[in-house]
Amino acid sequence: MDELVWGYPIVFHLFLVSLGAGVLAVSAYLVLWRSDDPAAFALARYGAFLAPLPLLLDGLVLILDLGSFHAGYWFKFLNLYKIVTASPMSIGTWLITAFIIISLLYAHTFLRMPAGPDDPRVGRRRGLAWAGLAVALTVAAYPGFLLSGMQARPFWNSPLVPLVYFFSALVLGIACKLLFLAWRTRSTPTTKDRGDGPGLTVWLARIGTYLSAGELLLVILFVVFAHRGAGSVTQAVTVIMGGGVLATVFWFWAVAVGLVLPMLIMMVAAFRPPATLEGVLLKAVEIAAPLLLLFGAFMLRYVFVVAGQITGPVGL
Amino acid sequence: MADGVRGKVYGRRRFLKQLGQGTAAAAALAYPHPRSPHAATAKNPQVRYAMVIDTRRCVGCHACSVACKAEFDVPLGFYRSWVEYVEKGTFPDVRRSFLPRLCNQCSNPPCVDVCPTGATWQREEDGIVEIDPDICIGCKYCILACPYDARFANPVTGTAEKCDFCLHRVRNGLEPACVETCIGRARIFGDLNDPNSEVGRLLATTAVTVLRQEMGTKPNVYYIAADHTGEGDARAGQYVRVTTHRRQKDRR
Ligand code: SF4
Ligand code: SF4
Ligand code: SF4
Repeated sequence: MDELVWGYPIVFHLFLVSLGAGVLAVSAYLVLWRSDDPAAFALARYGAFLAPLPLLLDGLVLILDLGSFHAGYWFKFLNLYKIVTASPMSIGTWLITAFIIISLLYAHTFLRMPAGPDDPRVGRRRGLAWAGLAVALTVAAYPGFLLSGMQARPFWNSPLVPLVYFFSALVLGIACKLLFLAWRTRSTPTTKDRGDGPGLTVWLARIGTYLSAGELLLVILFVVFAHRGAGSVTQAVTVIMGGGVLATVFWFWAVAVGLVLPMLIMMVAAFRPPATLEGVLLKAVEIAAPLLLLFGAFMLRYVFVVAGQITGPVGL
Repeated sequence: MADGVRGKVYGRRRFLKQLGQGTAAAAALAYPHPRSPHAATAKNPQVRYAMVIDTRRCVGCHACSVACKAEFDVPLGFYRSWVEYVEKGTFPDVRRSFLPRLCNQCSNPPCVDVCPTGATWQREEDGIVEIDPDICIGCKYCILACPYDARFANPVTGTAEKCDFCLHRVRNGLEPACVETCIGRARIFGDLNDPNSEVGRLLATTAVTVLRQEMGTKPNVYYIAADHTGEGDARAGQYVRVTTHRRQKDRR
């Protein structure tokens, strides 16, 4: 019987951090490199408003989960801000704080209407988009560094873990953008191919396919290296291999349903012959695929958090 | 870096306080400083407290666990120091041995490296890894980073907790509670840098092992004749069972 030291709040932490980072990264990308497309601008604007929210919620979740908070010392978490150490958690605290500030400032540049690609705040917005992109990409990899630096936890102790989280965060960013497309009123067409390239939906589906393929490859590499290795790491990874307690959650829910299936949906939508994307396929790529990706990302984090704690070094 | 500096200040403040109480002299008498040619650092302290556990003398009575619980009022289910029962073999070829466990006061402690608040650090004066409950926020990162599962989250104080070699006793010239209470004299405590101390002599003359040496943590708890077998190591058909009274039942 194993006691979990880190429970659901940490699963949510890893999920929310990735979500916010991915949304900000994609939003900044759209502002910096697709600002000529009004639909992309509108999407970037939604992204800018969403990005700080998961991180703010995450901060709350983390504080509520602290032992000190449980014991009644509600503001003891401020000790985190009295020092900078080489601990990934200390660096992460400062990074996430910077992320929240930058993303709020960035969102502010979209606030006053009419916001558009040519409004007077464009300079400030682009500057903050650069800063946001930098901080978002760093925060995207941060959960991986939080987990992977501990020799005592062989399941997490792999240099591939930060990369998996990095890709997963960007996939989450794309997923949220696709959901926005489904939700917002279609004042500008996003499903038709434009003269100079694919429409926004197809573009997002294409990037989403590449990123989820990258994530899938990294996940497979992670498992293969761990499984083909020796000692503690190989022993630890048995919990997700055949017969392991987390095998079904990992392979079926996190990988097959939460990553491969939405990747295939996005692939079909992205690489169909040029025409209008509509009907069931449009619904699938704008609603089903992103929801599956969100679910899969959560399950992946669940497996990681639990597997790392129920396994340990071999021998004593 | 910051940990070291803070540790120094903390240590000095406490030292002066003790001096006022006249207890530092007693501590110095009990554990005299060696004639150390090098400057003391956290990784290379003047006094290096260590424990040698002679498992041949341990009868698994748990007196040490109980003494420790009483000393620190450790909550139910958690232990700063505990004893594992290692059973293996098939009748008539069977063996049961005992493995007293505690924080190894590692010279290279991963728990210190991960702490985001500097609440846990290694003392420059004697190498003991300490936790300041006034600073610890209870993030539990150190608990996961310790390869010996030596830490736990105290549900009452909301902070991480572990054995500190009974620092409050040691600095007053006493032995740790578990050592003092051990009926088999299985636990021996002292200054490793003092060649005349019992631990110094034992280490010089006896074959000892440390736990999970491959982790590179450089533990300062040494074992004589310890059975390192775990359930995961059981060769085909061999019966191995490791039990403890901790809430966390499995070694990890
Ligand atoms: S045994 Fe664990 S808690 Fe103790 S010093 Fe070593 S790593 Fe830290
Ligand atoms: S639980 Fe306390 S001592 Fe451990 S890493 Fe967190 S703040 Fe540091
Ligand atoms: S008190 Fe001594 S003999 Fe008893 S269990 Fe502890 S170490 Fe062993």
